[in-house]
Amino acid sequence: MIRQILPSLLAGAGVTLQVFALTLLLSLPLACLLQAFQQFSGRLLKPLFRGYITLMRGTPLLLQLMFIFFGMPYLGLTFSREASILIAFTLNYTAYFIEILRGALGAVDPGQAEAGKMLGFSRRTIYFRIQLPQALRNAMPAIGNEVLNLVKDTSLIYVLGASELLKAGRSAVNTYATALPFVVVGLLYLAMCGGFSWILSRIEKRISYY
Amino acid sequence: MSCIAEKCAKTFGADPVFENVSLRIDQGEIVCLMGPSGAGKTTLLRCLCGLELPEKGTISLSGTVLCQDGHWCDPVQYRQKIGLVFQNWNLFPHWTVLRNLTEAPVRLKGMSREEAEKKARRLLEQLKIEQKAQAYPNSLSGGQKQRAAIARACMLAPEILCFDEPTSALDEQSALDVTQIIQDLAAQGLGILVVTHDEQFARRTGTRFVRLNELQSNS
Repeated sequence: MIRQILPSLLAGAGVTLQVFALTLLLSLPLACLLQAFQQFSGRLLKPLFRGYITLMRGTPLLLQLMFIFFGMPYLGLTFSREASILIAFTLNYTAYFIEILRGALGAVDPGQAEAGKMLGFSRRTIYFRIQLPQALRNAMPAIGNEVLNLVKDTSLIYVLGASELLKAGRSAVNTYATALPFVVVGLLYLAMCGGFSWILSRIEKRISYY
Repeated sequence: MSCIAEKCAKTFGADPVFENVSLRIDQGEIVCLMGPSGAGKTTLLRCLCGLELPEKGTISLSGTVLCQDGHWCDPVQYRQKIGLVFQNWNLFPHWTVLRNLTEAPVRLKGMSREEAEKKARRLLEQLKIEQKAQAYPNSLSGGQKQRAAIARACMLAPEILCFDEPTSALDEQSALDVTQIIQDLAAQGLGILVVTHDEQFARRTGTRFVRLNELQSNS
């Protein structure tokens, strides 16, 4: 039976990985940029950032997904299923990454920025070349946690009818009337998270050269 | 070529740190600013380096005005003429010593990387840490970090070089070495300001000794 259910589960895992990869590729750089923007913006823009972060962290990702796909059309904005998934995940994870970076930047010695200033570096150079690399190293364990959460959160896209891993597993359970597909789904999630944990620990080791 | 602070005043909240302070640092002299901890020496040094804005007074260096009565004038141009060796050195830990030295001249002075590295290696050799060029700051001793920080500040050829408590984290021998380095730099024509509470070091190193309260005028 495993041979019969495996292709559909692997296809579902492919969708899961796509959502995961695209979200990560968009949200982490976006968080670095928005954190810089937040740092350099005046008092007027700061409440806007705080509002966005509070909204994203204070409401369930499931609700955000449903609002963008089912709710936005009532406001005159219609997104495809794929776009809705990407927008909701990117907005949500960017907010979490911004907060992680904020904490990590706070842990970088303020003297580093002052040294950069004394050498004549611009604020942009100080942020991107001096503070951010050190902050990312500080933030790696927390980023790693979010990355693993992201793998598991991709299962939420079933509400929009996307055929990700969990949905593929549920279909197989209904078809074959056995719990075995759920066990395979669990093993596939474990394999993905284990793989990403290994990659993250390698990255952490690599950036801990100093 | 001299750095001049005239009738400067600085407060933190409602607390005045210093008032009516005037100080001049000329080419080739080593001014040691002394006083107990908390007296405001470091704050004055930070004002002179453009890291703090005094509420009153004027600070200028070779005709470039840093600030006047609580307003920045030309801080970017001013900071190109002054260097600071921080108390805890503030070397960038994710860069090698060589990169710590070369990044600013390459990015800001238009120096080629090759030229900057050549100059950096020469400076490191003068300061006797040339073998540490490819090391990361965390692997250096306190004295070596001090030398690397001095070399980094000297890469931009400042007219005035400031030191904040340069001996606070050093042993006796390293402190003696710092005296020699500072005197060599002054002999090359740099004006030096050393903020310290180490009286012995100041007497050994400086050509002029001042206390913060002596710099305050009543007018």
